[in-house]
Amino acid sequence: MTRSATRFRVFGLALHLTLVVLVCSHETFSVLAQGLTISPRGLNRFWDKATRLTASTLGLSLPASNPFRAIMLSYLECSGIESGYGYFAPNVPDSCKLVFELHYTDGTIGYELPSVNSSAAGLRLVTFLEKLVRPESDPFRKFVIKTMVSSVWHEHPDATRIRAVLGTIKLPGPTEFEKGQRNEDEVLFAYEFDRTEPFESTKP
Amino acid sequence: MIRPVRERLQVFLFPVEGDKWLAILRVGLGLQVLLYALALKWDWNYLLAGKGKGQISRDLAEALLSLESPAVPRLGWFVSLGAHSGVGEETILPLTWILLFFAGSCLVVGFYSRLAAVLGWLLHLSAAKSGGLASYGVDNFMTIGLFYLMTSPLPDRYALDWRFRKTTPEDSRARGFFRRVLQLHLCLIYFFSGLTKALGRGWWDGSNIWRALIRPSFNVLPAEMLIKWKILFPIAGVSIWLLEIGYPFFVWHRKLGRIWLTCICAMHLMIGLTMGMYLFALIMIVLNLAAFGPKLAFISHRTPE
Repeated sequence: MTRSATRFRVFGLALHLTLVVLVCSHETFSVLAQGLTISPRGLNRFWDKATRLTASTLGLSLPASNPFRAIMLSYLECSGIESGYGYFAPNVPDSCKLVFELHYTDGTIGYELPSVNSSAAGLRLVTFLEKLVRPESDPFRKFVIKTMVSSVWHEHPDATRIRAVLGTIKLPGPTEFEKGQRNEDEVLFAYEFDRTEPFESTKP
Repeated sequence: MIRPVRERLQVFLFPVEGDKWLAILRVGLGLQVLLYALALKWDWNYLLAGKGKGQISRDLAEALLSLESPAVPRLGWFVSLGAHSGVGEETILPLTWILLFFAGSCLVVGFYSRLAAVLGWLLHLSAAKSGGLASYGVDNFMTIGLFYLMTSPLPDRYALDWRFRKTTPEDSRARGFFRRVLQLHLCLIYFFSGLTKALGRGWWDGSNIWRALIRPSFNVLPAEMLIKWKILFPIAGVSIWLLEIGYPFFVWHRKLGRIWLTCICAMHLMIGLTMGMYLFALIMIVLNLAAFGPKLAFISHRTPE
């Protein structure tokens, strides 16, 4: 191995691992800044500053059209290091559920859940629904659900109106479970669509 | 002062290394790609079709991806390429699945290893990004593994390439370097994973273990059975984040390293069995065994070339 090849590899390794550390630190600081951890609330502003610092180092605060940001994000995505490793951390979130309520002209109502053929795809569906309930993404959520509803309509052309209900499944703690409490559904968002007007309302 | 540091760093980063670890990574990732493809066979179109065909539209995920990082591979590129040649999406999507399966098979036996690694990385990444709304941790780790595999000095001596294609062996220090990259990356992964868990109250009192196990779609074991073991939840919760945070410090150790590696692999096996996350468990075990499995790192750099 030549000296220049060695130097190139060491430089590449240093750069790559620095990016891994920056991405992981950014996600950790972000979790801390949200105040969902055991860290004292008084430190939230400090963590917020640290989040912004790591974001700007990674180029995340630059406009989307900036070439540095585009190159950086492309490299992160291609090497699989674009996100941190805080799975199920700091806390395990509630599970999510999406139900389509199909209304027919004769007054009957049918229900349909998004379904997949394998458990591997089922895990992906759960991830997908979790991304949908994130509070910051309402326009995105509406758009995605509208797309899904159009697909349901394709399979049920007789339905005149479809109500999509997105919610969480509240999980009981071990003590509550022993007292007989079980999973409870909580409606977060509901969207109604009919044949003439795609978006009727967005009230739960 | 600077010279010894530089020399020590060079010895650490470029240890003399055999290729057993590379064989584990290649075969393991090949199996992972095969199982990934098989697991999604019947949902491939549902998850990756364009607007109006699957319930989760590929077009939306790709549009979001274009805003952030336009150079990242996606299935839309192959579909557009097919459209230019008069081949529709309904042909291109199954074709990408077949090619991915083929790449996985080639990796397992070591046939055109480098090309198979590049093809596997490209197709898996394209599928993961096009189905980005439904992708999760396993996709990240597969991308990481395939990215390292395609840049590593392939083939290893257990591959068919070695026997039939008369490829020249790479410098053993180059192999050592690429293994070191994987080892250091895994250390960072576990450290940050453990740290983020330790910040959540639920990992101290065990409630997160309970919640993870009873969540719909992860609830392989009945809650009525799990509740009998509730006294163990806090111990399991604390053990997991301690094991993860301690990984970068203890996995290099002569004796503790083996114990740590065994415990980490056992943890992933349990996650796979009790939560149904088989693909996630497999990729983590493969990466761990390739990084620290055949021989512990401190031994390998002392092995004569």
